[in-house]
Amino acid sequence: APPHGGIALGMDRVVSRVLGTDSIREVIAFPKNRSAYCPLTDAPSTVAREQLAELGLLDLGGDAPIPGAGEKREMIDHLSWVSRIAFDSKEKPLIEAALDEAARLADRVREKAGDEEPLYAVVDVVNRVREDATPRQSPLAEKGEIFKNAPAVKGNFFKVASILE
Amino acid sequence: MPSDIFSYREPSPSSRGKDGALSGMKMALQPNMSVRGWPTEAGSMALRRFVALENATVVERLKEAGAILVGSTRMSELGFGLAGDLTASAVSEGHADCALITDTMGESLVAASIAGLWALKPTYGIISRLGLIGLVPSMECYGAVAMKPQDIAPVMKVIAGRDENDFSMPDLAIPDFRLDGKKGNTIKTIAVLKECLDLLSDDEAALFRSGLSRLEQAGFSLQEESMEEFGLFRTVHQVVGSVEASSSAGKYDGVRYGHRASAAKNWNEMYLKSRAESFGMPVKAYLFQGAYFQFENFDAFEDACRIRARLVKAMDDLFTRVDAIAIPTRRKKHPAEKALSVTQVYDAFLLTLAASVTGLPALQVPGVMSDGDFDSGLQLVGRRLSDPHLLSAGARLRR
Repeated sequence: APPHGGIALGMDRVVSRVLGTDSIREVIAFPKNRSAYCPLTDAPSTVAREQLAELGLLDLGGDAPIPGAGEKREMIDHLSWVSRIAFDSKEKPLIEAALDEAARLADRVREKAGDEEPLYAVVDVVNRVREDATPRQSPLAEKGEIFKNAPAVKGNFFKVASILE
Repeated sequence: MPSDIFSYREPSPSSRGKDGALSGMKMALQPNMSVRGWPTEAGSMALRRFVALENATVVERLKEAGAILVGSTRMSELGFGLAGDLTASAVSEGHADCALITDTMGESLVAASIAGLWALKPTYGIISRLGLIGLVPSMECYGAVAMKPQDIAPVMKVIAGRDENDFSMPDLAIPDFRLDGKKGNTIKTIAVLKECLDLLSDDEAALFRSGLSRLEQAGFSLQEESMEEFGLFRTVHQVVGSVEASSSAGKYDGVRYGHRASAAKNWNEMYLKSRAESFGMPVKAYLFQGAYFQFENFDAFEDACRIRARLVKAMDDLFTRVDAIAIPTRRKKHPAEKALSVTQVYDAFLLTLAASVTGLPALQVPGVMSDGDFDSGLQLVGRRLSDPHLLSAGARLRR
């Protein structure tokens, strides 16, 4: 390196001084323990197949399974999960048939598509800007009317099943 | 107050005034069109016990014009296809002068054809969709069904037009729906598409050809035209439609409204189970098809949209040579009211998909393509915003 000078005060140390903690460890945002495990992000851990696919890393192992990648899931189960729609054993063959049909449709559009720009709407989309006004709650929310249709309500909130187990 | 045809009947139907454009006109709606205080379940468990809190813009305009809203009719799940839909019967059995039917793939046209009625599926984008619960936003619109075209025009005149609260509306000049004899004469040349005839069975084609002579007798000139890719309307509609449906149905989570499955252990299970019970067949299969294109094969969705661009252009080109296209409305061997799978639904609506994919107006005319036993209906597809011209051309045809 060329001759240089300067000063770099670590952010962690600044925070530690500001808070007056005894140890800098108290303010580390992403602490690792002695076995190099990160309690916050769970790293190191295995990655999901979808994450590898997103990064284009799926075919690196050829036919051999990539260490760490989750087992390949059935497509129908994957779609059921991402769209959060379960199905029963009576519906399964019908949905499988529908997915086969979808794959055939995909083949057909791939074969027939040219290099046109995709058209998502048959009319020109106009950017609409609302007139300036004082922001206010919807009258339906103010009067609590929006809760009338809810399957479960607690006070002024929609009640759902527990999010944390 | 449920009945056979209606899922809800207004106990005391009334008109807001005597001077409105629709004063005294009885209108039937589907239960996916929001009327404040009416049960609005859209034929689906996904909206079980849902009561609309606000009026749809269309409903507000109908009331303002003095129309009498008599009730909402039984409909297919979320308006996909016509299985279980009895909306047109409300008109044919005299309960209403005009009924509105959500049109995503030609439902208003086909329902009218089955009941021997007139229907107009208007140009996409001229009617506010605020308060309309639908599945395929880039295609759906309100279709109007009535005994005669003179009942459709005034309704369209009232409900069409810019709505400041519907941000998806384009800036279109709204056509003038005041019918007069002279206007209809702008439609002179009507195309018959070779590729469309190829899709028909022999007896369907024979019925269609015999009906075409009625067009010539009424003074229209017929022109054989070709549109090589006519068969692709179905493919494009299904790919784009299923993706939009899967996306639109995402809001049915059983949290703010709709059906909630009991005894879910956690949040995710609540979604999975509630949505499993919310959708029936064929809607559920359709949503899975959409999910396939969204999550497994997005290129296919984009490809379908590329083809859609080409099909819209091909239609525009065709309309530089002709004023309208004649197509039968429905098929004899593929009854829409009995279509219970996605494939059967698309088989039944094969002939009305072109207008949906391109957003063009289409008119269903009864009594022209009939052998006395079966009326396939005549469908006239016109240029964008030519809706009133179609109506008066249809009236001229039946005069």
